[in-house]
Amino acid sequence: MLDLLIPPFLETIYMVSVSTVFSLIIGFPLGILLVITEKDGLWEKILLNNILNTVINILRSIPFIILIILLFPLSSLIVGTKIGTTATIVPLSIAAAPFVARLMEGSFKEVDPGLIELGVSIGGNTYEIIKKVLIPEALPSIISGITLTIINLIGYSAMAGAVGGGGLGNLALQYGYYRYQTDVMILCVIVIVILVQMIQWLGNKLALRVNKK
Amino acid sequence: MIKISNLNKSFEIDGKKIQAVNNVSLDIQRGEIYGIIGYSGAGKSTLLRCVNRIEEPDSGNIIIDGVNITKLENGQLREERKNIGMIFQHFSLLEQKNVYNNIALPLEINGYSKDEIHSRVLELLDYVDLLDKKEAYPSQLSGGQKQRVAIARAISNNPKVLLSDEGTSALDPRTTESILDLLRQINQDLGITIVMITHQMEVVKAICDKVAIMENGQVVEINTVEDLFTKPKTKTAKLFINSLQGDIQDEIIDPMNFKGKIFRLGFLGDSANKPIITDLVRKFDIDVNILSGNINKLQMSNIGHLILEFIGEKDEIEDSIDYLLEQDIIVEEI
Repeated sequence: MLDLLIPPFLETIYMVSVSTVFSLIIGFPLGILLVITEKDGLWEKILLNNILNTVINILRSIPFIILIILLFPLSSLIVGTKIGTTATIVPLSIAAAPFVARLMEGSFKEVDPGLIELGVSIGGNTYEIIKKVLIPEALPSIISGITLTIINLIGYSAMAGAVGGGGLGNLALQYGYYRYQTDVMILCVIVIVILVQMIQWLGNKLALRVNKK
Repeated sequence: MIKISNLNKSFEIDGKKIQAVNNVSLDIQRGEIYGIIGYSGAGKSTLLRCVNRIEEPDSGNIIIDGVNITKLENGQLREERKNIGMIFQHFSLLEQKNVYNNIALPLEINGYSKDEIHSRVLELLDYVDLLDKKEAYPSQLSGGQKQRVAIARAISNNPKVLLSDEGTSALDPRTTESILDLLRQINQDLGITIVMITHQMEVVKAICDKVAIMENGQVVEINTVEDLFTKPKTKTAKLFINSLQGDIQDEIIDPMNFKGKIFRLGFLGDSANKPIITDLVRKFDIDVNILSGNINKLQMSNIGHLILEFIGEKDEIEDSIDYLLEQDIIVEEI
């Protein structure tokens, strides 16, 4: 049973960690951009802000399963195939990026506007204020956001199993649903639950540890 | 040092235009501690924030040490802001950084090396008497300690000007006093010109040299602090003077309730230390009844008020008033 479980477990870890990194690479700067380009922001660009908001809203409203299918061509282009664990990383990252952008936007908005003003008053430019004030002050909230992203991606990755991705979701589906091996399905679910719990616990602990407030 | 001329700033709130700063002109001398006092909504904070252009003025000029701030491009403005320190009502310390790193922040932005920053921060911590709190985070500090850190941060780049936006308003009276002492010390040791916004007359009384009174976006009175207490020109000025605890409240004394004439005497400096009342009764054939009085200690001198009832012949009273005027005492009949 363990032999059956370990490879898909590692696949899930692989999919989730790589797509977390990519969704952060895309979503984190977008979150900053959302905050600084809004009205009275550090770099007010209303039109850009409206475009970003619209694109993010559209991406977030497409159901994940549909998004994977829509992104098959892109996956083939980037990884050379549209099925398999690596191929799933493309839609996973793209689906999570707008979610990350919104989460990060929320984290940055929690920073006291008085501190941004302080950054301006000591002669900081936009980049310096982002680097030395905005990000450090939002850090505990950013960590909570990343935790939430990882957990969401575990859920998404299980869904991706249904359309050719690997991982625990695929195992549960193949054995539990198609072969009526309910015990395998239950085991998969238990492993996923434990994984989610552990990540949440770790995330909370880390966020609490860095928070000096 | 700071010359503000014809400054205007308006906001639009719910489609209504609000003129927060209305054609304000001020002339602040080098080394002065200049108070701007007014009730909330008077526009004083907006005015102060225009000085380093955290708030962009609509029109007018602000010239600091020969540099016209209002005409600067973004890059030049950022450089100039490094010469203008600022402290805030709620301290604006970075909660996630310790005291050391909070003070180091403007130095990092100004491009100093790690070693330079280290020695400067330690020097500043020593100056504000917080060396033992170097590693502490703002959440572990008291209000007064937080403002000390903020002051150290504000003067880290050796600014020419320090702006205080209600810097003591969130502090209790004793802490306020110690922060004001620190500001005075900075003004004297380092020659930094200080502009402070406040709604507390105690603050003006304790450390300001000059004061501007703002109302509805306009400066209604500019006075030295001594003259403000002895010869207030506007009703708002009188209201602020009356707001000081233990001060005379003219309204309570109604001349109709007294037989004699009621006068308000203002003493300044030397005259506050003379035995005026005993002189009066010895020299003139009148009785003097003291109704109320006080002495306020200003930065440079003492200022006293007395409200007296004069009982006697009309001529004698007139002569006694003339005598008082000769002694440099301000006399006002109530």
